[in-house]
Amino acid sequence: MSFQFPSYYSREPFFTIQPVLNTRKKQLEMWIDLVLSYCRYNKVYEIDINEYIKKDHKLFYNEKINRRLSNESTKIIFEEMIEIGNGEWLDKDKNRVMVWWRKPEEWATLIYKWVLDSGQTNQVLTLWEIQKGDDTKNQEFYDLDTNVLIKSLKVLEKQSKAQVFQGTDSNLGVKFFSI
Amino acid sequence: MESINHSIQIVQQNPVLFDNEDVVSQMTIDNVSIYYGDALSPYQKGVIILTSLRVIWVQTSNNLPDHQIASCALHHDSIATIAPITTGFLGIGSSPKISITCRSGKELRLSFHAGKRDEFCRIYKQVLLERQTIQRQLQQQQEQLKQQQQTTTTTPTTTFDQPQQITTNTNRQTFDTSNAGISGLIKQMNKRTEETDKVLSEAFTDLNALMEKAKDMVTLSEKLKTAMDKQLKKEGDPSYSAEEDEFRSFLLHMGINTPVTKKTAKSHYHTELSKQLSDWMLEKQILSKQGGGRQLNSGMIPLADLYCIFNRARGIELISPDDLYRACLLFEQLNLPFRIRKFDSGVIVVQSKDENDEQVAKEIIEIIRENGGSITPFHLSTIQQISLNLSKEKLLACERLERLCRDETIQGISFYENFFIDCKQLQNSPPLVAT
Repeated sequence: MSFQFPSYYSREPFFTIQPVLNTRKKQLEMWIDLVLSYCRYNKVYEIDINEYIKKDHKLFYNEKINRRLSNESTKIIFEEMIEIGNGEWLDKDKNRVMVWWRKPEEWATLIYKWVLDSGQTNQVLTLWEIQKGDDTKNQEFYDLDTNVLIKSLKVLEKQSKAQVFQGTDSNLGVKFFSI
Repeated sequence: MESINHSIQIVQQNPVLFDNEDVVSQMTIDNVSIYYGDALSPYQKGVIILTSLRVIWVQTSNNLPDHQIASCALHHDSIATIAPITTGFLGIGSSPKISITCRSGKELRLSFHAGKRDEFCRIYKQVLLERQTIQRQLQQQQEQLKQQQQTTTTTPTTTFDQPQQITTNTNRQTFDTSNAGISGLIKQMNKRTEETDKVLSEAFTDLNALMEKAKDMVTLSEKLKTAMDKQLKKEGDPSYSAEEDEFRSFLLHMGINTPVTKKTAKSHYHTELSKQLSDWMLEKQILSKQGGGRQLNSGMIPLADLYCIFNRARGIELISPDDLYRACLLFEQLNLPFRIRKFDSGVIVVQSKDENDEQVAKEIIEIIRENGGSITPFHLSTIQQISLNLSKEKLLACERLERLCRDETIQGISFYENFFIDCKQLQNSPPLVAT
């Protein structure tokens, strides 16, 4: 089953950034919600705006009503999304954006909880084990984007719950501590 | 060539002028020949001199004694018209010429071998014109003189002599040497401006007369109306023709019986005008006509439209846009049921006091629902029979109220009900609470 777009996705004004402040605020909220839901469903961590628009990606182009988001409108939405902490620009030209449908703090909480639950504190784990390991198959952070994972581990580092260090073959390792 | 005076007195190679004759300055041109129509004349390559009375041609020869010098003159009074001859393609290389048509029908030509044709022609025409007007005045005065003489013969009193003398004096002044030179030109200019002033003031008195007539028309229409009312009562016949009905309504619409004017209201002008405007708008239900007839006394009208309709109703004593604007500004102060409103775009409308944007929004949303969910300014303007500008302003106002939202495409803007504000259908799960 593919992603179910919400009903407002097929309303024409949804694709015009509204000039009235309150309406616009609500509209941006709705767009961010749609983008995050879509990315969560399809496990998308990164969006290249130019690429998406060039290929008429259905996230920004509703073929049925023949409405599409312009490049500027898309950027306005992502700016707002980053403002509320659900992403980060990956380049200066603001074409590529990291989409955090969970914020790094949330991922950190989830990962640390899993570590505690599986009793792996004070052990060294590779990032690969967290991303692709057999034990994490049922976890939400399975297949997590490396950039996002490192961001999350840095959060744990700050809370002194973990320590990231350079392992062999340029692989990163991480050690979790129990507090 | 009976028009030409062939014998002119020449003294020291200069023509002798009459007492009342002046040479027009700058208008002595060398190297000019005279033709009889197409044919050559004996007068070739001489000096032409323009005076206040004549055009004089004198042969240029340095050694001849005075009595042998050929010369001629053409009196202004014998001339019908003059015109420069436009030389065609074949005329290239020939000297510029002026054609002079005499009252006798004969044609003379002046050929300017050394140029200056256009300049001469312009001044010549001016001089001729002045000469004609002087001549006309002379005639009139002579006629007056005759009449006065007739009256004086019947009642010979000395008092009549004085004006006679004065008129003859002014007559003589026109030929005075003081009219020559720069001071003369200045005098002429002053005279001309005076004349223009006179013409202008006359024109405006005509306008006043027109307005007086319009007043008469209004009273006439009122009389007709009352007469018809009486007739109707007498007959008591309800089956009068539709034509009559139309005529009656036309008379009714002729306008406001006694328009407030600056003269009648003076310092209270704008207040009175404001009151009258308000009464008139209520009576004629101007605003309800604008709202597509949905509700009485609702809707709005652009100030420009109001200006046109109001002045049309006044018929006479038209008001200026500024007066109307000031009168409208007084609505609220005078507690009248209207108010003026300026949209952000600068469009000014007059609106019913009871009307607010919420009500407008309700009406528009109703229309949107009837029209399948969206509406363009153009569509709304046709439905409500309002101007496109006003329709756009209404929609934008509703958008600002967060009642509408827009869909902008290459085809233009259409407006929808604002579903953003009501939408609660958000899918993303609430953020995890850190444990």
